[in-house]
Amino acid sequence: MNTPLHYGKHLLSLLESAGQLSLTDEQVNMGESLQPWFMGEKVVTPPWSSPQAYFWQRLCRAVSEAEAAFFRFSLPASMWPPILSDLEPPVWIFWTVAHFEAPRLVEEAVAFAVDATRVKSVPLDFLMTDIAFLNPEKLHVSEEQLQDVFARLQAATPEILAQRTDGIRAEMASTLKTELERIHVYYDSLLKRRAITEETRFLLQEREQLIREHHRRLSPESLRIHMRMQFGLVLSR
Amino acid sequence: MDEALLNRHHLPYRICVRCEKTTINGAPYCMRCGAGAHGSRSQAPGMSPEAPEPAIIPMIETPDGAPPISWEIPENLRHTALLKRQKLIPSDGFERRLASFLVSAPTADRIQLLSLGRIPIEPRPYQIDSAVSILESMRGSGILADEVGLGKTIEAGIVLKEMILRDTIRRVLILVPASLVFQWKQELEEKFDLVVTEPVSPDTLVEAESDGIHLLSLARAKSTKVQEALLRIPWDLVLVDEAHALKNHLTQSHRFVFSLKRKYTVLLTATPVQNDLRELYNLINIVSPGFFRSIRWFRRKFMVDRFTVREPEQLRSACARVMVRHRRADTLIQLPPRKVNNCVVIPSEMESELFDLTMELARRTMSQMAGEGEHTALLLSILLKESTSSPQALLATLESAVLPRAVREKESLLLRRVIELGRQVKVTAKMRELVRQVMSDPEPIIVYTEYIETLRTLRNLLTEAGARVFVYSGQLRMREKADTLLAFRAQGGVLLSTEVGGQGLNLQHCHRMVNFDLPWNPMRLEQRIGRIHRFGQQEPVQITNITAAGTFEEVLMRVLLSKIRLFELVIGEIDSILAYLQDPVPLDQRIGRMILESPSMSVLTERMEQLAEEIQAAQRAFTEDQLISAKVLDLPAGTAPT
Repeated sequence: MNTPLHYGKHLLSLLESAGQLSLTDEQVNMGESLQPWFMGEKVVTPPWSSPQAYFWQRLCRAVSEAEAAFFRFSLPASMWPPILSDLEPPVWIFWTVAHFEAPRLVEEAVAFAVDATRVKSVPLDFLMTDIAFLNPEKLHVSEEQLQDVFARLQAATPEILAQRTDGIRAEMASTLKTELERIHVYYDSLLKRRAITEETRFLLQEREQLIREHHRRLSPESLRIHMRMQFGLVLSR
Repeated sequence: MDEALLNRHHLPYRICVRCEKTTINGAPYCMRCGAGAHGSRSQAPGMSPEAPEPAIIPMIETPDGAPPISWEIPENLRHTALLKRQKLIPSDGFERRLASFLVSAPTADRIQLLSLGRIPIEPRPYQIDSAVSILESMRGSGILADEVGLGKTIEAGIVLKEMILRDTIRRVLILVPASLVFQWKQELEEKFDLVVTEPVSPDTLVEAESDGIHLLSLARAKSTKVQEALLRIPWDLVLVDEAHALKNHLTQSHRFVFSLKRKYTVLLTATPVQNDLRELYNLINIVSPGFFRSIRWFRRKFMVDRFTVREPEQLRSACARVMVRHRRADTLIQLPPRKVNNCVVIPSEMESELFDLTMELARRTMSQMAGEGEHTALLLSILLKESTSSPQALLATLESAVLPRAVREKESLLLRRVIELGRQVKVTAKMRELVRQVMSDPEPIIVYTEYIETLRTLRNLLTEAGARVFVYSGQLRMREKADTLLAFRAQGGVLLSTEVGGQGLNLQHCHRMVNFDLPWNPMRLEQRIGRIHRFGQQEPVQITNITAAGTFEEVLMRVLLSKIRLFELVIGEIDSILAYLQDPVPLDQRIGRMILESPSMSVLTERMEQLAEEIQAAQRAFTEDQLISAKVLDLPAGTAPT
């Protein structure tokens, strides 16, 4: 599988072909449309070793703001991707980010394919190799049709994410258990062989509060999921 | 200056029609408030609290046991999908869109920070790493323990912004030393576009039950009524700067922070270990109670004695689970040296008389208005500072009749003489020296003054001398400021600036600066220096301080600032040193009091020396603590951390 950095370099060459920038050695000469995204800088050296950097974030944001959020294409029947073979055209594909509101940041990009009856997850880059064969089409989408697709997508999401959700909940439960054990060990060591005084009462109260806070934060039931849709397309044959 | 002029200069900025701040020209929405180019809210998802609100589909009913799921669908996606008149969009646009998503898409083991594309600064890679560690592996709670000057505030700001963008936190409490309250507010607002409130009373804190970022000094937070209010509120995030103040578990500060109801805790300190290894245990215990089981266990496992670690490797690796620490040597930040030139000029007789009489007037006013509170002392401090800045600045204040009526009547003769002298002295020795300095070298130069009247006088003098002068002050509108900076960058010359230009600007293309007058707050001086002595600076930085002989400003320069070697300190170091002072009164107020209450220059010199010694002691304690922390937590320089 290609790495994000590989796609970063590919994106730069795509933008170069579109005349939005030019590449020289290790540097990028920004075209006029991109310069404002980089505080007016004309020449920028991308961090070639890290995809988690300001440069790539800004570049991706500039592209996502400039390009459309919804596309309509057709593919010749002979080029229909095997992964969509069990779906009937038109097929809707949405690229999303699932944000698990767990105690630590957990996010995952998920692509969904939806037809009139089914919803399934598909690899994020499965269309990358077929792009040359995608033909722009005029496909009418009605309000009802769109609502219907979204409703099917939302209904199927819990099941599609179930495995990941279970994993995160298990992690939360195990962390909660470890943290509670720590709290008990810590306070037991403080409270050991102590008569009940104002100090010990304070410690007991403190322990209860910490336990409550940990449940509030780490309990598997507190997991929420927020799905952020990025862009989508409808594909016919 | 208007929009047309901005466009003519092809500035990379435009003025947002909603918040009226500068933002990136060509960007479809304001980088600060999220408004679209024409004032409408853009549809970028998750922008900022006041930013566009995409269509959010509320939590849907999920099968039994499944977590609730909410959906955010960008309005432009829905809008484009429903378009009746369609344009054929070629596949290369889709390819770019997909490729950009594949670069930035998060994976199970790699999150992408939303904040990076939404803040007007460019954090260094190690700062991003620190924020990611806190957010991801440390589950939102940890200690940022970088060496001084590496930007812990930036790291904390990214964590804060990221959690707010993701709606993980809504109610935030930030506790900092009193001397840093202003600086924190400014940094969070300017660098992270966050709205920060400083609660004025316990009642306001009760209102803090509603969401927001609440900034307080630790000293104030500990006062009985405020403390009660703070302890009642369930905070989402508690952030404490200079957290070594919490090192002792027996202190009120430690107990108070430990008792706060909080989901996430972030502590900032360059010196997590000071006098005793137990302090490290105490700090970590706030972030993660019971992390080291118990103090007895910690002692048995890691301590030989108060300063000696039993299993250094194991301790470092355990700490790395709750603490991020970078050393300067790891970050490869090497700045060119600073050269300091303290230039003392001899004032004319008339100038000397003006200084002396202003001082006399201030002292008499002070003794007459004793017990009137801080207001009088503040006013007189301004008057004194103006007298060493320029007669024009001093006159502007005196002629506006700010002195109390009783003083004006009783000291009318003295007052009249001061005004008369102020009108006679048109050009001071300091001004002549400045013109000489500026004209002696064609390289761009920044001149700082605190007063707008001084700035105007200097502008006229320098323009007459043939210099190309740009003026930067709080009186300019945002777009005028942006234009001035771009012109200075392109054309060179002299940038005359008030304190406004001391904060938040990157002027590293220039390596010469002059402090025409000295602020009494060392952090302000540091901010001025930080504009040019920062990452990207190629040349040695030349700092010139111009003072007049025989004035308190010269004493301040000679005794205090030189003795504590302020101009040699790493950026950020003075904040940490001042946090070590026992006296909670801000340093500029202490200096003001000292000047007003000293009957003569010799007494003032003596007192200033005492203050310098006090700061030096704080400096020594801080350096010692840094060494202890480094000994306990760092591997030898150049060794990769485990």
